[in-house]
Amino acid sequence: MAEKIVGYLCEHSGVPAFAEIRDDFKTLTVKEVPCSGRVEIPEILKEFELGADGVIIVGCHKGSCRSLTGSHYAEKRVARVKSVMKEIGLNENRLALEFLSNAEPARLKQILTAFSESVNKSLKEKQK
Amino acid sequence: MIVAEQKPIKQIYEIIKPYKKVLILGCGTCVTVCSAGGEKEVATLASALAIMSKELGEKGEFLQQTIERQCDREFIEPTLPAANSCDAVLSLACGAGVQLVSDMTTVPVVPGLNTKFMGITQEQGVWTENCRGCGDCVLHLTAGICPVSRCSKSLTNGPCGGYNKDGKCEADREMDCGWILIYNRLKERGMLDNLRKIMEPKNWSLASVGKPKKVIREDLRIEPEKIK
Repeated sequence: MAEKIVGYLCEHSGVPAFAEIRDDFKTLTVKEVPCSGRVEIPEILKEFELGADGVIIVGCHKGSCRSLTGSHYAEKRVARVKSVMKEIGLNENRLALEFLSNAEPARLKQILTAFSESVNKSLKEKQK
Repeated sequence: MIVAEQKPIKQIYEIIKPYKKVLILGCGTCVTVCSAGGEKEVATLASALAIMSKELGEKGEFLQQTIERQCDREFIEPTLPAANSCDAVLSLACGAGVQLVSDMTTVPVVPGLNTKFMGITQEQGVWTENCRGCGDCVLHLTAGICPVSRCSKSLTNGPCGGYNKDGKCEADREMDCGWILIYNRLKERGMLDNLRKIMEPKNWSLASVGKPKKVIREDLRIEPEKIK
């Protein structure tokens, strides 16, 4: 796994799913949030400013968000952060948003593995 | 409210490039509501500029502060020590705020926003222009719909001949013709007689164009010499 990856995990989906696979991702910095829609734009950018290699937000499937519109807002905000990242020359692949349910730890494992690889690739491209 | 938009980050970076330590100063009123220069936008911009500076191998330092209003001296005063300790202030206020901060500080003050217009929140994330500050309001005659700002030609005595059958403006087929809106609302409210009142040519010397305007209320004014 890439050195510094921060994961904002929704306590209704990401957190319980991650509990099952925690041992495989010991270096992931987990930030539990009540909803993916709670993660604000400056918060995400701050992670990169503080040296994160990648940031991933994991929320509930759209339509099953307990805050109703949280996943929808998360999607909008991530799109906005990606546009800022593009503007300032950061590889957008270093930020990801995924939706899953608390019963999908295997899928979360695949997502985190793929994201880690994608971040590593982005960092290598940057070094070139 | 005054509606503004943030300048492109690259342009902002070029503007502040000569300065090492910059205070990013947000404004908590209009530009917070239109999500252009409030606390969140200040934090976002500070991080973006810090990342950019780091990526380019420069050592920019970006402080953040958001005050209630940048168009009133009493709100700016407490921030002056921080502002004057920096090489420059990047103001995320409308043009009026930028100028007042610039009047009060000893360091350069640069704008981070482009001020667009006086408007309203049409829906979340959408702001529209509703007032041009013409200085001679006629909304009582036009059922609360401004012919100056809502008609592309600012006509004051009915529509031009260019509106579409569907009530759209010839200047922008997506936009409603201001005068069709006025007519429909006057009709709805039984006030069509208002259309018979011919408006005289507007006195544009009262409008927010030309020489700078001033409003003085003698009952509120306290001349400094009288306080002493």
